[in-house]
Amino acid sequence: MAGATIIGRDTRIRARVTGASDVEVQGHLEGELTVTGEVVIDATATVAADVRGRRIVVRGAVKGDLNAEESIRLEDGARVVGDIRAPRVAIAPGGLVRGYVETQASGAKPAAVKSAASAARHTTHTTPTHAAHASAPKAAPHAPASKPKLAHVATKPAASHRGLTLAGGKAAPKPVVPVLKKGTKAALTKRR
Amino acid sequence: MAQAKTTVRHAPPPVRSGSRDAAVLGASVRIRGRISGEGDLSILGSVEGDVSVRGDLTIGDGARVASETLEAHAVTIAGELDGDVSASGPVRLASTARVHGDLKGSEISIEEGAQFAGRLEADFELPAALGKAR
Amino acid sequence: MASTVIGANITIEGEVIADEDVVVQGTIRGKLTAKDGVVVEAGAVVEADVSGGPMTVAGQVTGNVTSTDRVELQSGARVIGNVKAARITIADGAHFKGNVDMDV
Repeated sequence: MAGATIIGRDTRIRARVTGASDVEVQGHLEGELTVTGEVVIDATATVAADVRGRRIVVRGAVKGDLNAEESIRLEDGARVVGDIRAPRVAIAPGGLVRGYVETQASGAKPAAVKSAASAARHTTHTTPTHAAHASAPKAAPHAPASKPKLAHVATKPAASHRGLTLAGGKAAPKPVVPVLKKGTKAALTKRR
Repeated sequence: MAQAKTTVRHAPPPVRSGSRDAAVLGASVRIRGRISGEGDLSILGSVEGDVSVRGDLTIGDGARVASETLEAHAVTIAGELDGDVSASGPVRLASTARVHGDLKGSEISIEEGAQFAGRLEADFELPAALGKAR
Repeated sequence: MASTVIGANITIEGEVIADEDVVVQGTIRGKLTAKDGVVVEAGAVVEADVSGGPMTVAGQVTGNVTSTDRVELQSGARVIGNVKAARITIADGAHFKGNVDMDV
């Protein structure tokens, strides 16, 4: 691979950065960063951009979404406001995130119904792009199963104040455990 | 003279409100209903219902919890959880964790290998160079 | 010496402002403003106005070049644009088309 790209500490870039290379950001980047290599966002970096790479390591500040083919790692000192998606995600103690985090390759079958429900709930929080990606392809196959769950989730504020008896005071038993088993274990066992 | 070895088997202590001891729900235990208490709680079996403890909560590898809310001080998850976590202390997901739900805590860490889908809401500010965070 | 390096397989479409040296091996389309030196290596493509301190060009620059110091066009360089600098060197084998203003 060609020599690595380093955006120095005293450099500000307001641009779309693309390429087949590793990139290390130590300075300020505003715009878009999409490479096929590894992206390292150093402790001194401030990035206001969506970042895509094979692997992403964050030690600095990012306002934007992170998407990786392999893994994303946030180290102590990382501050991220945005969504994080990769097959493997690690967040060290001290890595701070405000956003939606998902350990799945984008477009893959969701592990459980909850993710569709979460995505629907998150429509109010996240950007339309996320809702479009997550809700549309993922919610569709699970639509029948997720409907009762969505209704349940929608009334969450009220439900949490209900005193639940040991006899099971909930209106209808949530098919959560069986679905979890069917979805999560099966999908994950297959992946393993 | 060989000493006879005595095996004493204790039933896992029941979940008692007001107890400061750690409560353990064993691997074969299935609970449907709300759990609350003052001390620490370790779930090794299956729980369907809200959990609210003052102490630390552990969801062991192999445990399965489905709830709307999980409240505790420190939360350590090595098993399956379908539900939101609201912790006053740190939240840690071990590599065997499988969690769907939003996490809130003083600190959130996720070991590589964990399966997770949900929101993280840490309280912090971005540097001025990045303007107001969304 | 701290410097920014734009690697060979990287394309930047936009503006680069550096308070340090910049070495360009890849492609910049837009604007490049450096406080210190600028090196445009062989194979690099800069389609932008470039301003900075001392500059060495062995690659391709299409745009106006402004230097507070000297500009050196090495053999193999292809520069299309006006150059404004206190000193300028154009080596044998460098291609250049544009005006030169040394009245800085």
